[in-house]
Amino acid sequence: MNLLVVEDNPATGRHLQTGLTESGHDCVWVRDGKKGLDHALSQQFDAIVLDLMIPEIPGLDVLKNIRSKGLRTPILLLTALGSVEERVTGLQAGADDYLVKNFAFPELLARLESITRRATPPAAEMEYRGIRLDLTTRRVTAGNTELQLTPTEFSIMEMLLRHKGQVVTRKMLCEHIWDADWEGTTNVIEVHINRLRQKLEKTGENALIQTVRGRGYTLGAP
Amino acid sequence: MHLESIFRSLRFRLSFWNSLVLILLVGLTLLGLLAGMGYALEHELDLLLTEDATEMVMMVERLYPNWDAIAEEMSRKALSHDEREWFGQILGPDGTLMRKTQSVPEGLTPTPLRRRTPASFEEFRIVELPTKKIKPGPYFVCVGSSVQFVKEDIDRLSRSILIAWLAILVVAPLSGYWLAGRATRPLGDIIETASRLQPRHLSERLVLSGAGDELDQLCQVINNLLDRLATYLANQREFLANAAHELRSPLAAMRAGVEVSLDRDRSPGEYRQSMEETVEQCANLSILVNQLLLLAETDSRDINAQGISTPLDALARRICSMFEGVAEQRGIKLLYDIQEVQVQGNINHLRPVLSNLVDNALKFSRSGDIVEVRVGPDPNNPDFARISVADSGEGIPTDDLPRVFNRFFRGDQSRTQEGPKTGTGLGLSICHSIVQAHGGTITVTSSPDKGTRFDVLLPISKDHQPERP
Repeated sequence: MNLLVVEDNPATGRHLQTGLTESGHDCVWVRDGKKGLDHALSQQFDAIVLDLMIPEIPGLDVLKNIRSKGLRTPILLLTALGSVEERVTGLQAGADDYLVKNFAFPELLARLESITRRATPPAAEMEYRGIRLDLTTRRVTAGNTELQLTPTEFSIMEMLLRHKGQVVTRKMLCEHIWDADWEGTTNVIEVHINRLRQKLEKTGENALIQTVRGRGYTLGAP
Repeated sequence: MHLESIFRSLRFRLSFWNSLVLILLVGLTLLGLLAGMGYALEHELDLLLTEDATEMVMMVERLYPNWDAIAEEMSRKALSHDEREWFGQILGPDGTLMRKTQSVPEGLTPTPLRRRTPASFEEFRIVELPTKKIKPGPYFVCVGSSVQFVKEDIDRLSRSILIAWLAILVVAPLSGYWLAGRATRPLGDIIETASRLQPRHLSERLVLSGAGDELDQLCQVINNLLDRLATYLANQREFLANAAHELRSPLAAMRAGVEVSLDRDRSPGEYRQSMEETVEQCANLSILVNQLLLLAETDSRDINAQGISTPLDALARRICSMFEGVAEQRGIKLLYDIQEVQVQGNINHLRPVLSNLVDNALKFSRSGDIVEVRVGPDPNNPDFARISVADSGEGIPTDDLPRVFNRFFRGDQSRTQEGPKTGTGLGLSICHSIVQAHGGTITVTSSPDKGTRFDVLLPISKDHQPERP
């Protein structure tokens, strides 16, 4: 992907650039809002990572400016502040997603992949390796057997299928299922994933849900 | 600048206005006294003259028509009252002058008849009386006397009064200023002590005079405020120190891990393992820092719960669904009884309250225990919604109960299933802080081996326009 990173903190910016480049993306890193806006308006990017607190032009104004020009480039906001209001403001101004510093780099990677592929319309029926999920009847079948899933497990399955081939982080799952970013020490997602795995294993589907260490979960081979 | 500050001082203004009022009032009183005195003296003179005139009338009636004898009597009288310039004259029925003393002032003769007397003529008071027994008549007896001596009396009195007034003019402001100084001296002490106070040294207190007056009350109020400020600051300081301490341990572990890794060349696998450990510790640090920020946010009273409505029942269902897997895995029965209820508050602030309580209950339960979550309108109080989260675990030791909402308080580590160092010790204090900011209460009851119950009361939202969770 062709990415633009607008971030004034030199350490964060450098790490983002290195990390994104090593992940196989082309990355332009600028350090203030003015340059960020110039780049965003003059070049075609696949996604923009935009810090909210940057010099020259505040991140939120950059975001609004880009959107007012009719550009639909997916934008991921970064901020050190984590208040609820700010998050809402950012998303209302047209951001596609939002990450509070300090975030894990795999989290950022997963979110970038997620927002750039969001354009593909969600299908009513999804399938992977013989596992079928029907959104209208809310049923999951493995071959001819129907799986008895709780609503939570169904939501996890749906999220994984929608992002097949990508890594889905625990944070993303949490936000998707409960609108919550549970940060306690208890890993509630892991427990649900394990139960889902056990149910899948009973139908003979071993190792369908893979743990990607330090990142999250994915369907099939990591 | 200095003079201006004196003029502005409470002491100056108090004594200035007090003196002004006092001087004016005393002045008015003295003037009134003077006027009353003048009137009384004049009245007394009039009585004397009327008495003289009556005597004269009787004398004329007795001696008539011997005018020489009458004149002689009159002259004798004039002579005996010479000091007040007494005079007398007698007029006939037609107004002709019959006899008069030498001292009758120029212009008074002939006196216009039947004037209303007593009356004033120039510097004199005059009384005129008619005879009754002489026929044909009546003759008019007119006596008069200078008012000069009354005037002199009044003047003497005026001088005394002026002296007294001048004395008050000097004494009133001085004594007033002195008294006001005495009365406002405690204020000066308060100002002096208060200006010495520093946020670092809040140990000093204002001294109470013991009089129990308003100034004492003010001192008491200020002292109480200082007590609360000192307590608050001490708590904040302790919190900061604790937070720093909590941050230091994982930092030290991370540093040691990285330094040991860098100490000599290692295999990629070893590096990977070390770095993965570091990332994990970073994640734990993030949780701690985020919780600290959340506490700061709720502490600063930024939470404005008014006018925002949240369906507590929907939130509770989501939280329960989130934890039911954890409960099942640990062999704990998670029961819930959730009734529809709307509360005032933002869902993002209320969520941590519920999730922390449920998480806590699960953490301190053993396999086979029951965790019960109840949400609904409070049966005892129609204005509140009640959340109660009860477990059938070991309970909290009575000694620990008052401290469970303290920041960084962790109970006996051996009782959690996940072993020591579980949690940041901030979860319950965050609940406490958020609930308080929403105008609610959180309480805990616990009995050993029977379990623990947390009860949260939150104000119910009156307007039923639910914000979707």
